[in-house]
Amino acid sequence: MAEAEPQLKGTEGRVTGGSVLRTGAAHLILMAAAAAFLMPLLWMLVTSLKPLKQTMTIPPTWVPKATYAKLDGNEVIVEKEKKIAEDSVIVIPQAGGAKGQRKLLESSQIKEGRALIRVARGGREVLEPDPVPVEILKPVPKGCWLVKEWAPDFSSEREKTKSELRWDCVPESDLREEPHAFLANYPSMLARMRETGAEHTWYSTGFVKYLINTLWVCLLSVFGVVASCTLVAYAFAFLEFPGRNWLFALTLAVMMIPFPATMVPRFDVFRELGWVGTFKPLWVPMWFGAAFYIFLLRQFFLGLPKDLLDAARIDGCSELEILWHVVVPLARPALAMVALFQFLGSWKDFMGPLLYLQDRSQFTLSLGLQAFQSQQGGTPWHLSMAAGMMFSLPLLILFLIARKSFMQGIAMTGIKG
Amino acid sequence: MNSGRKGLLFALPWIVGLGLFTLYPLVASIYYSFTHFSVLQAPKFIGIANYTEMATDGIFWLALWNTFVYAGLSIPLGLVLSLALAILVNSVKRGQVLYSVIFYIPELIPGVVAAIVWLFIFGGLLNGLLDPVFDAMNWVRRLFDPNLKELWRPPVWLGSTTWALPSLVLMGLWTVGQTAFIYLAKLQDVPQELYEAAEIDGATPWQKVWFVTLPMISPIILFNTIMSIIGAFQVFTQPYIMTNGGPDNATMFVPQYIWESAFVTMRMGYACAMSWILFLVIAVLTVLAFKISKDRVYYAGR
Repeated sequence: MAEAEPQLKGTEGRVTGGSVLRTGAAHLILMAAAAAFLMPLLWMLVTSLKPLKQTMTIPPTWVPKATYAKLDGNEVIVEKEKKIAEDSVIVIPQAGGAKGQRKLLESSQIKEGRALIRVARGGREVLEPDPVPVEILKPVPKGCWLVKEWAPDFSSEREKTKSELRWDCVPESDLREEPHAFLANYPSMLARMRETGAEHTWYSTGFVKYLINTLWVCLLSVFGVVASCTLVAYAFAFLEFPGRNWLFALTLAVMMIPFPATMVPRFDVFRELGWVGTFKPLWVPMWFGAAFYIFLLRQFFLGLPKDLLDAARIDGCSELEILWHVVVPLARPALAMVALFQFLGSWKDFMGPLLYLQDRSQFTLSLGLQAFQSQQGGTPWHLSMAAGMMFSLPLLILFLIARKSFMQGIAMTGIKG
Repeated sequence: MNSGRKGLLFALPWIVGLGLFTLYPLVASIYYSFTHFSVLQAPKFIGIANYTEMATDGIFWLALWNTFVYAGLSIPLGLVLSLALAILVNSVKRGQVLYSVIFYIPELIPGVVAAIVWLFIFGGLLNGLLDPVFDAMNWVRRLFDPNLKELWRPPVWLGSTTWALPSLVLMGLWTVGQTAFIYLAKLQDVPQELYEAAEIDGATPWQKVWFVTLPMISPIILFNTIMSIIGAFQVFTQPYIMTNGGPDNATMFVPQYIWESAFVTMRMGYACAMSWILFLVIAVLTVLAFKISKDRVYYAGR
């Protein structure tokens, strides 16, 4: 602004130097603020691409890394299980429950070629009562790492492969670390959210089902709100009817009502209608108009050239025809804006679904994600973040595509002031 | 068909919708507030018993206090931050669109996702970033006091009764993009001549903001203030997911308590009574904002 008019300034060189400095400072502050605003999103993205073990490291890390090691001659991604603290050996017991399996023992545990061996029993590892003879396979000096082949956290095959995951002890120098995006978290998350059981197909539970539900509610709400608000705004803008100004003032006033004030009786209305436990409370009201969009569209309609409407009227068009053939084509940007805002609102809505949806098969993404988070106790953060990414991404894409529409709409929200 | 009938016909969906989904519930909730009412039983009139109970309900008063503290922190901080961002963005020539997009993006993140991400940030990342800072502070303190016992540690944020509420305020500041953008749109409508005139009079940049920008956008400041009041007193999703009122009711806000009364303990009459008090508080504050601003807001052309 000020920098655009250097000729107005008295002592040119000095002031311009100052303004360059000021602009630089402004950019610096803005960049810091921008970084702070993007940080949570970046953290969500980065976490969604990490293996579980890297999600809570201290200090926090911003690059997901994979550790590679050679197992059976192939280089694969491994998880570091633990650092070997004492000189150890990998042995094969010659008898007992673990006969023929590879086991890791501390060297001091082997006495005269025999050792006590842990075996899996009833889902737990227990120590066998008697020492069995063991064959020493390879010595493991202390400082080596016990590594295990990495596998996705959850997939339908995960359970059966878990016990077959390869492991070995390798010296630190044989491990290689490299940045790696664990995209497998996304299918893991999808699988983890799904309910298992023969009666379920891939789209009948979990994320996909929540997505379908959300889209369904969004679609019905968007159509409803655009259709009804166009009609009503047209009436407010172009038609005279008794009580119009009074009704319009009321329309503005109800925008100020806080939601708790009408929450309980509204719930009661829907309960009387038998709609609790269905999607109807979430979208049917939208077909009866929404105060804010009516206001927005009325303002837009009032800015349209009135001559066009009058010309159509003289040609004998009905009001509906004028609305459809004259107003709607001209008001497309405003209608697109309303559709966008409603889509955003329905997509993000949490309280509506929380109030009215009860069965898991009806959950929207908001509710499904919250259920997933509280059910998992917040431990698999990488999966929660993957779900959050997939839930947010459509809105981010929509915003970047329709940025102008969005920005115009937001600027218009301020008109009332 | 005459125009009046047509108009009514076009407006009919809204007349029905307004009546059924807003006005009737509003009136009904006044009635319910004087009744004992659970979904399972018809409302039973009990006079002002709900209101007298509220007067002695410690949790209600705590919730009201918390809500006021939350609003008292988040409204001014939010207004100042959004205005500062808008003025800064408006003052640079390059990258205005990019900056406003970045500041707006958090508004696009669904509330549930934002809550979970911030839960994770407060639970790990934030203190991971703060730990070195505190270590450095402790190191400096140790220079002065070699037998230092009590080391400074960053707070446990959502787990602490002191810090849980400020944490929610901090998180709320993440979504000032919308307000900032409204300011930016208005800032760009301020006539350039005013700044040029101020400059000729030798105004400093700070004086230009104070004597030109702020008066010119004062109507929108009032508008945003009122919107922030309404928003702050209705805060629900984030506390519900992140702290559920805890720890030890430190983040119990009125909407959450209304919610619990209505749908957890099934005391809908009591919930309605509380929601009317909340409504009243918002209404009084809104009127107050208008009154205070009366001589301070400049409406061009009036």
